[in-house]
Amino acid sequence: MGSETAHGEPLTVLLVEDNLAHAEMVKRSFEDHRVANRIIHVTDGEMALDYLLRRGDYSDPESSPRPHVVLLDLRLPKIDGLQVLKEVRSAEEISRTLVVILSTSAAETDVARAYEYHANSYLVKPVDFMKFTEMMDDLGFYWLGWNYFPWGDGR
Amino acid sequence: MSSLRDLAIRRKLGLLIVITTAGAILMAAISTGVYGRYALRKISANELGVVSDILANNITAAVAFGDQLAAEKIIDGVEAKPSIVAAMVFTSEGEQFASYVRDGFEGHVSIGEETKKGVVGGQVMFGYLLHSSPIEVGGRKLGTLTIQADFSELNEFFYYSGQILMGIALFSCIAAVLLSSKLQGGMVEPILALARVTKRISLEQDFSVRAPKYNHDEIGDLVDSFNHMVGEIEQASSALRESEERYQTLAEASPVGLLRFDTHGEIAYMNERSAQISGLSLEEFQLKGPLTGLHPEDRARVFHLWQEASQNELPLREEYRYLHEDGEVAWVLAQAKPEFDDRGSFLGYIGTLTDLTDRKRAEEERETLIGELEVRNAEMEQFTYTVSHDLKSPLITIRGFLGLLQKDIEVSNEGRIEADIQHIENAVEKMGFLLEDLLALSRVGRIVNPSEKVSLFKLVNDVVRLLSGIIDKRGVQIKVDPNLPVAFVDHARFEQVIQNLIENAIKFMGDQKSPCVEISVRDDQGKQVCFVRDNGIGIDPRYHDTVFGLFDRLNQTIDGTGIGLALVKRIIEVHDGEIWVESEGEGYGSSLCFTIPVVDEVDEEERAKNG
Repeated sequence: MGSETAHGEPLTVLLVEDNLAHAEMVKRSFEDHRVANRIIHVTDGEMALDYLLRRGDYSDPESSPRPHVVLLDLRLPKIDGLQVLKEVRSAEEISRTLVVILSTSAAETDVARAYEYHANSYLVKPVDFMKFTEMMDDLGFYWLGWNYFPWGDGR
Repeated sequence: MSSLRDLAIRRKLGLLIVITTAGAILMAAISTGVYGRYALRKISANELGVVSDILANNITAAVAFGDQLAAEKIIDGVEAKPSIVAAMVFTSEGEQFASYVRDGFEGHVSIGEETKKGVVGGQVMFGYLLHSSPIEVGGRKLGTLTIQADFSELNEFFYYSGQILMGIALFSCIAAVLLSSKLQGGMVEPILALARVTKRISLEQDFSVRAPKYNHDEIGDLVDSFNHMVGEIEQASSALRESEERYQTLAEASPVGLLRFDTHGEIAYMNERSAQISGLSLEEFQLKGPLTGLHPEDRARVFHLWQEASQNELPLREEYRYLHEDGEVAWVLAQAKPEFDDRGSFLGYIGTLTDLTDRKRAEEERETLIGELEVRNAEMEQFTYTVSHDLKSPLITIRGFLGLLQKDIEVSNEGRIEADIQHIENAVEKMGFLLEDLLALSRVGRIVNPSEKVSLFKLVNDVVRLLSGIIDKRGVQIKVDPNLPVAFVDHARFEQVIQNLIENAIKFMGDQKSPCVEISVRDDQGKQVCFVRDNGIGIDPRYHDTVFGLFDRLNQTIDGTGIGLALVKRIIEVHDGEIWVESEGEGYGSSLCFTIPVVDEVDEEERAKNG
């Protein structure tokens, strides 16, 4: 198991999660399986957009690299997940960002709306801890080992 | 002629009889007169001829002996005949031998040259009758005797005859007039009586009168027929009147408004119910037109429809509103059908007005209820959604950290074990708060205490005392305005509102050195607006609406379930109030403002209701 993408790059994940405990669980899962070597955690929609659009505190590309994957919760303070997704898709320089929705909600409307705004995947946090870690594992393998990204170089 | 034709029958008949009688008498008189005159003249002439011949014979001796005296004496004998005015004897030589002229005769003696010539025979000359006879002896002519007579005798006869005739004529005419008036009694009077009855019926519409019958002649038959006809009309009209009365009663008792329109679209009849429904009387409609009293929003539409229908003589069916003078709105269903007579010409409309107000009100109520239910349903959906989401969230945490805890225990990672347990504890506690708050929220609207007069000043002070623990802990200065109004609200629920708002203000105080919360009231365009103002972290204007959403939390670093403000909003709304946020933005503090029914307004409403 490596900590690099199919192209040998380290995987960078932007985790947008307001629940600190959940964020901790995600981080621990990645850490245990060494699937990502960099997780950037923000706690609301506004911060997520600031990061992706490199605004304010996140204007330095060195300390704020573009993520390979964004793990986006739907219910977020200030700007909710769907709105973040919509703005990502409409901002040209980041419109191809890979966004995986990671939500507690399995509601059909949430799923449908997420895909309407072109989410790349929709995952529901399992209550069962074993399944939670399993899903995080698969998530890492999938994006790290198998997935080809829409950009050739390391940006 | 026309004036003759227009004369009363009585006069006409009288005149006819008089003219006929007088005419007949006149004709008889004229014909008798003409023939009498001719015949009498002829008789007179013959008679004169005889007298003349006899006289001539008698006088022959006197003439033959030239005895003039004897001749004179003989000739004077004619005096006995009053019509003879003169007589003369001429010799054959043409000399006058003897003559006689009646005493006192002043007329012209016509026995002249012609007579002297010895012409014999009768002739009429200058209005006199002349006759000459020859005086002969043995065939020898000695002279001529001529007599002149007038018609005085004849004229006298005619004079008396005429007078008798006039008398007869006068008598006949009087007899005729008397007879005619006698006849009229039997013939004209029944006709006149019939005429009087006819006139009375046509003027008074009284079909109960009958014409009197005098005779059993044709006029009697006419009277019988007439009376029979009147009887039938009387029956028919009373049946019609009864039927009309029945319909009138039905129309007045009808729960539906009934109306009739003439060809111009004006209302000709309407029942009492129509007036009740429309709020206008027949007089008002006739004065201001049939489209009076319509709701301003419906007037143009109804006018257009009515115009189109009446121009094409089409039926009409439309729902619209009347606006009564007292401001009441009445919904009606108006239906109108065109009426035509037997020959198909347009008579107007007959229509009904059905009061739909109650139905419309029920429909509106139903719509409102459906709307409210939809809102409730959507809220409920949102509620279950967020509840499932937010209750699931701590469960994931608990399960997750239990798993992690197990791992950490296996590898004896002491530092993490403690953190894991803390995460679990937080999640459990959060779940407890969530369940409590959800319960509180579900009570709003479900459990409603009756509203009462509540002094907000006292209520706020009670809540402040209750919260003194966290207030003192954070060192918050609380200011309560003594001008806070007396509200008409659910006391227990309002305690929750104030408690939540003060707790919220303290929770979002940030690192303010001198924290302050002010509960006060201000007048906003005549409305009393209460507010809880703090000098805490403030709220970005972008999020002023989202703060009231269920489980919406702006700041994850501060504990909270996200239910507090949703609960407050719900309670305020149940009290028909409004709540909103006023804040310049982060760092500027914030005010939560709300309106609620205060006692002054309630009093006014009640006064309006009772008044």
